[in-house]
Amino acid sequence: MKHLLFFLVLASELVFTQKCYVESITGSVRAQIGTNERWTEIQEGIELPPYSTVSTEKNSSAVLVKGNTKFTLKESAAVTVNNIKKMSVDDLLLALAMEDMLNAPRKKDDAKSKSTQIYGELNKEEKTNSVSNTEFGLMRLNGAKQLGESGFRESAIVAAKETYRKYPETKKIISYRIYFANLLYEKGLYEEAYSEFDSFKNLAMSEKEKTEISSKMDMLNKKLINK
Amino acid sequence: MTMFCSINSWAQNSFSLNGLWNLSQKGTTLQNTMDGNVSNHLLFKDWGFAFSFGGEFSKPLTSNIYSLSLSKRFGKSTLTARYTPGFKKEFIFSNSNGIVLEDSSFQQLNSKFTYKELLGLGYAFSFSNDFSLGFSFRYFSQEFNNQTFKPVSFGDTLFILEPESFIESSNFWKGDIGFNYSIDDFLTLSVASLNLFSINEQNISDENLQYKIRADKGALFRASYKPFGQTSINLLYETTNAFQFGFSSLASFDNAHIGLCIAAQHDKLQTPYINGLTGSILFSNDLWGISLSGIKYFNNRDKVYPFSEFKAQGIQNLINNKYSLDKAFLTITLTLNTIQEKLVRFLSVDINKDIYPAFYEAYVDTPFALGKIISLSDKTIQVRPSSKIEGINSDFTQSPIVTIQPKDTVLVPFYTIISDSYDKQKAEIAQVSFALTISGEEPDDFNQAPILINGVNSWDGKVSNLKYFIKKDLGYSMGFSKNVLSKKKILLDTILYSLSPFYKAKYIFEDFAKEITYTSDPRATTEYVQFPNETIKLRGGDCDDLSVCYSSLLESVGIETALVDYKGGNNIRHVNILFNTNLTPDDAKLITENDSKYFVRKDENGTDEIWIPIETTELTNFDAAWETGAEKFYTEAIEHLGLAKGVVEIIDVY
Repeated sequence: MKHLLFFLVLASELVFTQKCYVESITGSVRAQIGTNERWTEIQEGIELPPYSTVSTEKNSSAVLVKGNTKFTLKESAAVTVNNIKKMSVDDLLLALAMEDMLNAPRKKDDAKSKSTQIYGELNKEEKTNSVSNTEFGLMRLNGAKQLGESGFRESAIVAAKETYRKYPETKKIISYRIYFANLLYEKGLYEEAYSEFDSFKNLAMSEKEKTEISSKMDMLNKKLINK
Repeated sequence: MTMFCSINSWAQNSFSLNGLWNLSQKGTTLQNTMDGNVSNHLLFKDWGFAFSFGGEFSKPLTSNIYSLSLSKRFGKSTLTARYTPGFKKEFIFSNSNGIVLEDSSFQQLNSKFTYKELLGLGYAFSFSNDFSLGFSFRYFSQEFNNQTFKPVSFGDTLFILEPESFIESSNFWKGDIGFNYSIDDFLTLSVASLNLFSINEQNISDENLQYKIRADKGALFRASYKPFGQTSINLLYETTNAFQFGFSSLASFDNAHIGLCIAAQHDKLQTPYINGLTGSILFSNDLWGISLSGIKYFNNRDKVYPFSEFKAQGIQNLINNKYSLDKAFLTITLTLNTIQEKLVRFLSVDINKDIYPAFYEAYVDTPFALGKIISLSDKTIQVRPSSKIEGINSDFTQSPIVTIQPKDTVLVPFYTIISDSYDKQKAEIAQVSFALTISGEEPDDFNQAPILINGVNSWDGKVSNLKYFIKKDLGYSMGFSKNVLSKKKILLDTILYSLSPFYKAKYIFEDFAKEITYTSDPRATTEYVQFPNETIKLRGGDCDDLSVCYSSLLESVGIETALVDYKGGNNIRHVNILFNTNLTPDDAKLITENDSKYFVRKDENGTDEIWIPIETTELTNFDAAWETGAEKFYTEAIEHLGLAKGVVEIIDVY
C-alpha cells in the first residue's frame, strides 16, 4: 500500500511538473510567464513554465505539447499550461467541492472592530475607471471550451469554474454555461449538472436555450429519481 | 432474701430511644442514639440537638428527662456529647437480717444498688458518603449501699446496735468502636464492638463485685435493606444476648418526612423469646423533628424476682432488662445548619488543554476543562461552576450556569480569563481550583487538578491560534503602520480610494521588510512565536513570526488578513498570509495583468473580493513577496487542490 501511495504521489507530481513547449504557432500568440506581469510574443519551440498562460489573437492558434498530449489553442482563447492535463473524476469532484467552498460567503466575525482610519469617507463611493476584464474572461472560457473539445473535459470544467470566479461577468454568457453543464452531464455527475442547469434560471436566454435546459433538467430529474 | 425493685430508668447498648431505623435513611431523628449507633453515624450537616422526655408505666407513673445531646459536624468529623439524667436504675433489697426493737417492731437492714449512665461522648469520621468510622465513650457510675448494725458502747458492758450504711462506688468509662457502610442505595451495614474496654474503674470489695454491671465483650451487627422506595427492613444482632428486627418506612414530601418503624426484640435473659415490641412514629423536616416512641413488653412486668436470681445474672445493661416496664418517649430534635447543604458534587475533572497565555481570548469561549458533576438534589438545580488558576487568576472565574435535573450527571465546561498582561516566559505547573456553587457564596464542592501554564510566547503549533499573537499587539502595530502611512500621505491621497488598501499594504510591507531579516526559530524544539513588537524590535523572525507581524500591521489599519497554513508533509509546515484588497474582480486589472496572482473570495454578503497572497519571508520587496506568495498559493492551494484536500487551509484572523 505504501508503495502504491508513493507511486501515486510521484505520478501526480510528474503530471504537475511536466514540461510544455510550443510546437507551432499561427498568427499572434502571447504568453505570460509564471507570475510575470508582461505579455510577450512567443515563438515556436519555446518551453513554457508550468504556470504560464498562453493567449491567442483572432485568426491565431498555437499547438502546445505537454508530455504525450498535444493541445491546439485556437483563436481568441487563453489557457494556463497547467490546465492541459488529464484529471480523474475524483479530482474533478474535489475541484468542484473546492469551488463550492470558495464560493460560499465568509462568516462574519461580529467581534471584529471596525477601522476608523478611513482616508476621506466621501471617497468611498468613488467609481473606478476600471478596465473591463470580461474580454479576457471570455478568452479564458474559449480556452476552457477548447480543452473540453480536445478531450480534457475535467480540466475544462475546472478552468471554466475558475474563470467564472475571477471574471464574474462571464457567468452571464448562457451558451458557455450550457456547454460546461453538459460536460458535467457527460461525466455522469448528474447532481452537479442539475444544480448547474438550475442556476441558469435568472439568466437571459433564447427560447431554444430555454427548451434545451428544460428538457435536460427533466432528463436529469428522471435519472436522479431512478438512481 | 426478698427483692423489691424500684426502677427509675432503663437503657441498653443496642436499644435506641427512637426505635430501630435505617441509619442511612435521611429524615430519621437519630441524634440521641449513641446506644445502638456506636459509630455515631449522623446525617445532619452542622449542629444537632436532641431532647428526649419519657414516662414509664409504673405505679405511680414516673416521667423524666431522659437525655439531652448536642452534636456538631466539622467537615468530615462529627462530635457528640450526651447527658443522660434519666439513664439510671436503682435496686433496693430488704435484708432478712434485723433486730427486734423495744416496741417489739422489727428493724430490717436494706441494700440499695444504684446504676447510672451519666454522659457519653462520641466521634465519627466520614471517609466518604458511604463509609464512616466512629467510637463512643460512655460514663457509668455504680453505687452499692449496704446497711449493717454497728455496736455503740455505753460503758464497759453495755452496747446498743445502730444501723450504719457502708457505701462503695465504682465509676468507669466504657469505650466501643464501630463503622457504618452503605454498600449501595439498598443495603447498609454497621458493625460495632460491645464493651470493648473500660477504664478508670475503682476497686470494690468482693461482696459488691458480683453486683457490678456485667460487661461481657461482644459485637453488634446491624443491617438495613431497602427493597423498595423508602421502606427498609432492619436487623440488629448482639452476640452477647439480644437481637431486634423490624421495618421502618418514610414518606417524603417537599423537605418533610413522616415515618414509622416497628421492631420486635429478643433478650436471652427475658421471656418470652420475643419479649416485646418497640415502635416509633416521626415527623421531621430540614430544621426539626419530633418522634413518639414506645416499648411494650409481652410478659408480666409486676413480677418480683428473688435476689438469688439477680445475684446470679446481675445486670448486663441498663436499657432493656427483665425488670424494665413499658414506656413511651417524646423526642424533639433540632438541626441548625449554618453550613449550606451540599446539593452537587464533582465526580471528576479533566483538563482539556494546557494553558497558552497568548491565547487569552480563546479561553473566554473555549473550555479549558470539563467537570463531570452529579446532582445530589431531588429538585432541578442551577449550578454556577467557577475556577481559579494559580498564577493566572486572582479570584474565581465564573463559567456559564448549568441546569441539572434531579440526581442527574452532566459535563460542565470551565472557562477562564487570562490577563493580556501575563508576561511569564517560562512554563510552570500550577494548581486549578474548581468550585460548584448553588446559591450564596459558599461552594457546594471543590476539586483541584494540576495544569501546565506555558510561557507567554508558547504556541501549540495550530496556525489557527496564531491569530491570538496577531491581535494582542494591535496597539503597537497601529503605531508602526500609521507612522509608515503618514509618510506616504501624499501618495495615498492621490490614488483611487478603492486602491488604498492595496497601496497601504504595499507601503507597510516595504517599510517592514526594510528592517527585518528572516531568522529561524531560536527554540527549534519548542513552538515559540514572537509578538509583532518583538519581531520589529528584534528585527527578525521565522515564517510564523513574520506572518503574525505583517498581518497585525495590516489589521491594525483595517486591512483584512488571513493566515494560509501549508500543512505539507514530513512535519514541514509553512505559513504566509492573504490580504483583502477590497477590490472586485472587475478592478483586478488595476493592480495586476496576471490573474494567477490573486484569489477571489466572497465576503459575508456574497460580494467577490480580490485577496492577494504574500510570502512574508520574501523580504526583498512587496512585488517579490506577492509573486512568491502567489506562486505558492496557486500551486499548492489551487492547482494541487490543497484547499479541497485540507492540505492548505485559509484561516481568517477575524
